Amino acid sequence: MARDHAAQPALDMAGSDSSCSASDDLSAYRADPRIAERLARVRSAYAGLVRRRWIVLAILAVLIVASVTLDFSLGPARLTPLQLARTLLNPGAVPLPQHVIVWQIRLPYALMAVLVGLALGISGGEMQTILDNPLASPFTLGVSAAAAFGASLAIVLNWRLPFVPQEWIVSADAFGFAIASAVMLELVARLRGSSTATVVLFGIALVFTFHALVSLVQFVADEDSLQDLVFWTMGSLTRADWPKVGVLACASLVITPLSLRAAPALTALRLGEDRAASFGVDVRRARIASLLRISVLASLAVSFVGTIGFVGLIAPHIARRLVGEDHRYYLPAAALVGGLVMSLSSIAAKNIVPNVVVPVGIVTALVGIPFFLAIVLRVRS
Amino acid sequence: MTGYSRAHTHMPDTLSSLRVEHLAVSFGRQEVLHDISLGPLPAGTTTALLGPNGSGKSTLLRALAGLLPARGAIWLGEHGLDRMASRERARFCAYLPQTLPPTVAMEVLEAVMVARQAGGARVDTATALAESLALLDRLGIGELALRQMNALSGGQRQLVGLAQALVRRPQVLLLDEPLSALDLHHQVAVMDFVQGETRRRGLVTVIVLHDLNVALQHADHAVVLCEGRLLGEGPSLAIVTPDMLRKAYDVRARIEQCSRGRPCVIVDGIV
Repeated sequence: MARDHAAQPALDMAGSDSSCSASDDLSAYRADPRIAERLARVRSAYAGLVRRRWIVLAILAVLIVASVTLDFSLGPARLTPLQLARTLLNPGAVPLPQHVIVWQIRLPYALMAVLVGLALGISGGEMQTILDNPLASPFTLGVSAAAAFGASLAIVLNWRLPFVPQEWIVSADAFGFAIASAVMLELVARLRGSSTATVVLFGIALVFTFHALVSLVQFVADEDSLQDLVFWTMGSLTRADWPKVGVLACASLVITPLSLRAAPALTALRLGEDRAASFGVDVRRARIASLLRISVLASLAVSFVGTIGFVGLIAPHIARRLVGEDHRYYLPAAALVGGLVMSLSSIAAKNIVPNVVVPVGIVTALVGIPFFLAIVLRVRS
Repeated sequence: MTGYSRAHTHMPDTLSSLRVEHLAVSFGRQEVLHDISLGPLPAGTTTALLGPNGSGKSTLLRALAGLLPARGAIWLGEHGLDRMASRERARFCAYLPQTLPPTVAMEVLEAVMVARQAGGARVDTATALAESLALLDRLGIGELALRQMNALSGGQRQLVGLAQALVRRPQVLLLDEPLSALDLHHQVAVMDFVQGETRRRGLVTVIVLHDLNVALQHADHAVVLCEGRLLGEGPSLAIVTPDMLRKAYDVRARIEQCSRGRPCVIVDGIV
């Protein structure tokens, strides 16, 4: 009690009115030695908070590096670390099968896992903020379902976009539909009088529509293409190759800085739409710019590896628990958590069943759910 | 005091009054605010925005803040607020919504600093931190600075919302029912504080209020809306009359001189 009073001398609300004729609260406030001491204390506490967030981000990054290394080292071929190192450092001097395994399978798979996780994590994080809904993610709002429909058209009906080489057809069709669904979400967001709830409900409608359309295509599909299609919708890293890794890496490199630049506006948006607007944030523009970024990243990710549920949904929740909702830290954390979960899932996918690589989309849910529950249910101290 | 000359930098260049000319707001085809002209509301005065539920108080406030498309003109001195882009307008106006700040995973201090730094204001973190903490202290919630927003009560969140509005150093302060979640002590304290700030900084403050006694004691002016139209505007003592209360609220009421000669509304029943 006495300490509280010491910490706040004469700070009852109207108290300083008479003593301070001009509005120079701040320098008068700072001049008081007790206040100066308190200010220093709060400032250092806040600095500690920020430092802690950087440490969390650094730990996540280190874990990702460790996880990618492990992911790269494990596999049905049982190559020794020495063989792996030799193949990496001196690719010309190893037998061809070993070269192919390391350079055409292990590396692109491991990197693709992380990149897809990063893309889905940051997309989910932004999406939950701009739609003000903890259930928003590329998966829950139809982007993945649209990609699956695009893929189904390519696989079953052999529909193809013009000028697309054979090996890119499925991804290109999937991307086309994913981006179209995201554009539809944007158009709905642009409608005058549409709220975030409208967009979310429309997204859910998209999910069901595209699921029904995929079922329709499955219904008319022959046996072989049906199997391919079902396998695609499970989400798998076996479709990774260097060009796809390159495309996704470039897109992430361009888009992530744009997201980080929008971080203060997104943080303000988290405090409420009207509030953000009254802070001078152009809410409509911020929301549409963000949807554009999300749609490109998420569409690329799902079109390359198929339906990956859950990562885009849980990564933001975990990030929020770890670093709070200042988006300068929250968005990178969501991306890193997404990358880590995907990479861990990729390891698990190769090792749950001996000599079989389980589709990673199945594993993300199985690995993700306990991880997610552990963090969400943990009582905050 | 070295701070004295710096003090003037905090004052607005010109103490401007607020004028509203023929403001109208429509939702779809339905016009909900009809031809509202107000003012000039001079700098340094507090105006209570009164009226029954659904009379358009919040709509008018949001229109003044530029959060709704509106016809008509809004002038702050020479500045045409209605023609400004949102970012520029936010430099002049601060608006406190009726809803409480949401429970986000953010420290209280951080939530106030965001208000200072978002929307393109070039304020470095150290300054924003000091200003935010000073304001939280003056609102009596300084010790909550490093507490999570999630952990606050409704009333505390309302005080944080007020800090978010004031930390932007606006010239026009628009508050939508800032007292709704507050206990009696804090209601009086907040109104004293807002009135003090308004006078000291030369703000034009407009507050949506339900409690007529608070309006009588703390507001210089009163504006009464009813069904989207202006029912009356003027010094609060001249406006809050039994006749007006009957027209706006359908109640039988009288104005008595209570302790220390303060006027106070006593409601006898509904009409």
